[in-house]
Amino acid sequence: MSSLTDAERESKLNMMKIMILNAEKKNLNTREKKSEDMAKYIVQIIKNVHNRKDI
Amino acid sequence: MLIKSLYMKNFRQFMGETNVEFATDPDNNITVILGNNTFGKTTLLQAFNWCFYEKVLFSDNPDDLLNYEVASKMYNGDSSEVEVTIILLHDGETYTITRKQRNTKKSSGFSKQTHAKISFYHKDENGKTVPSTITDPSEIKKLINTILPEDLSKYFFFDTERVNSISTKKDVADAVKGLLGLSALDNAKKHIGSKSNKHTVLGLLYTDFNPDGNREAQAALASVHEAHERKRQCREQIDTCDNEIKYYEGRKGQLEGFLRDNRSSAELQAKKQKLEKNISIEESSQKSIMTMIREAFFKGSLDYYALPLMEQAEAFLKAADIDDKGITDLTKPTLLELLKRRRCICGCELTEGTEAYNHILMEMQYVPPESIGNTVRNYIAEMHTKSKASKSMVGSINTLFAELYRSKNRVVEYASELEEISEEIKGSENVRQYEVDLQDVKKRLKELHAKRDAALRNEAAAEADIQRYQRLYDTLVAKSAKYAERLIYIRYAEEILEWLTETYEEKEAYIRDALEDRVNSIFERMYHGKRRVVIDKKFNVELLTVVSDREINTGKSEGLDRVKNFAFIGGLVALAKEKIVSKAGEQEIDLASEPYPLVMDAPFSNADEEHTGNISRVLPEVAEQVIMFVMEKDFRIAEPVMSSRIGKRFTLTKISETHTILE
Repeated sequence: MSSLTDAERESKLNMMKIMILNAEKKNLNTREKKSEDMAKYIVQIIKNVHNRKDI
Repeated sequence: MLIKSLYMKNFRQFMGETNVEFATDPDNNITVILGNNTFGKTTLLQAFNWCFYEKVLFSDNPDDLLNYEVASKMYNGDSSEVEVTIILLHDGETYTITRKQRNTKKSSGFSKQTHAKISFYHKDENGKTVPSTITDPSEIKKLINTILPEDLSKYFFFDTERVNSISTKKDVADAVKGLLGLSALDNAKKHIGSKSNKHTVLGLLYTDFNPDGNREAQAALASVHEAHERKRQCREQIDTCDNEIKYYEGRKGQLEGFLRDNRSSAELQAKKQKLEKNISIEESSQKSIMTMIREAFFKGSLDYYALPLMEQAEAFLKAADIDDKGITDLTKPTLLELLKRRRCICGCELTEGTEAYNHILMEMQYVPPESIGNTVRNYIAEMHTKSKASKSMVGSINTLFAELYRSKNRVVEYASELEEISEEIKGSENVRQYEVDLQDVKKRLKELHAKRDAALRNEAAAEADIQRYQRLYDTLVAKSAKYAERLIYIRYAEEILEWLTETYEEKEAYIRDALEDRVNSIFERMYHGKRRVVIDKKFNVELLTVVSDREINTGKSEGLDRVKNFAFIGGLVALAKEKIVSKAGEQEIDLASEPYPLVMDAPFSNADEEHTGNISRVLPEVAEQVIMFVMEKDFRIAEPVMSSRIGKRFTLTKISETHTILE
């Protein structure tokens, strides 16, 4: 991906924060994922959001 | 979360079917269930626990859920079901949670099979409300934990004993954090983790991460260039070798052709060289002969030249007849020895004065050394010897001279032949040199081929290096791009971690302060004195008393503790109702915003009238829904205070020890 503007990066970063916290909240209740799975899931969130063109 | 109803079938003393509709109206949010001790109040609380989490905390026969009267009437093979169904509202959805236990009577006792299901309505992708049912136990567990986590349930479903210790439990901090949304932040922090822990986000991103990949790629590229240069140099060497080989091959052809064309000249050349060598040998031989002649001459020349004189001397001596009468080789000592023996060798006795004796004496005059005759005779003998030697020397010298002349004649012959050959091969004297040159050319060609082969090998090695380093470069460049991308993710993760840490600290401080405010607010309404609730960093609750402008931890009664704990729960419920958010940019993230009911078993036990009144007034105000199982004597105190908010009221009637009805 080409380099992002500061605003684009900030926007993506905020989206990551929201998605990560929502995932944590959900998992806190469901206990669906173990810690290492959550870590992998968060890495995936970061990658996906960074590579999304619409954010 | 609001509880709409509780349905029980044969659950402990609630024989048959019992259904309770709870008050859910915000203004009339209290449901009171009256019953004295042993009437089944605790059973009602445990019905919630069992339905939600399949757990009960009965002190007597906790495994026996089936009503005793029903069980006692069963025969072997008969089956009866225990059931608890709760209908609740959560996040805008209605959930029906049913848990059943089938009890089958056997001679050894009861076999029990428990199962559960959750039915609910939810909106599909098109926004249409559709029913769903979950029967998988693990899915049911997950969903119930989403609605009301088991860890937190004890703060909303509690009995008297629980409320007495609720604010001093070790897990209070975790519960508060979970309830108010800090657990999500805390877990996110832990999951982002650090690069030293491979099971965290940063650990995963830093795995096999090589920020120097680009530098290594550049090094690989430099190696590619270096190998290209080596290959170019090898190619130059090969080309040079090829050119030289071509030249020397040509030269070799020339020389071989020349030598082929001049083969006879070469043979004559060889013959000429052989003649020259022979001449050289003859000349060397002549020198040796001359040396031998000189040596012979020096050794015998004096005798040779004296020979005429010796011949004259011999002739003179012969003519002089000097030769004596002495017996040859007889010497004087021999005769003296005979005289001494006094007998001659002929046997005559030699006595002094005898003739024989005198004859011996006379002979002694002619024998050496005194005899001149002998001397002359010896001299002549020596002259003969020398004469012979001189003649021999002359013979030798003559022989040597003869050989010398023969040698000289041969040299003349050789020289003559040499002259003829030289004349014949005149103009092609370098044939031999060409042979030498040809050998040099062949040697040079051999060296050049060896050098070319080495250059070819080096060129192949350089080509292999080019491909190897090019592959490495390509890989590293590809990796470097990945590293660059990975670095972006790492930066995101690090910033998110920083944000989580700051947010956590900020929210934790806010929540602690807010909780302390809410708890103190409630506490002040329940207790009229100079005490204040303080919540420390671990969310432990302490009561401080203001004494002369100083706050000290003073002793407290059980009743005061109860008020403090109710205030704490009230504060917790009140805060949980509030929307606690965290901001990510302009966007807000809900950390906690779920209202919870308070389901209390005998909340006023051991509380005095004033506190009962205060608790009754305050808790319904802060909680979304209050369900309390209370004794009539306590209710009489509470009722005036809370009557305006009571939405539903039920009474437990004890028919027998094993049968209670709820009306």
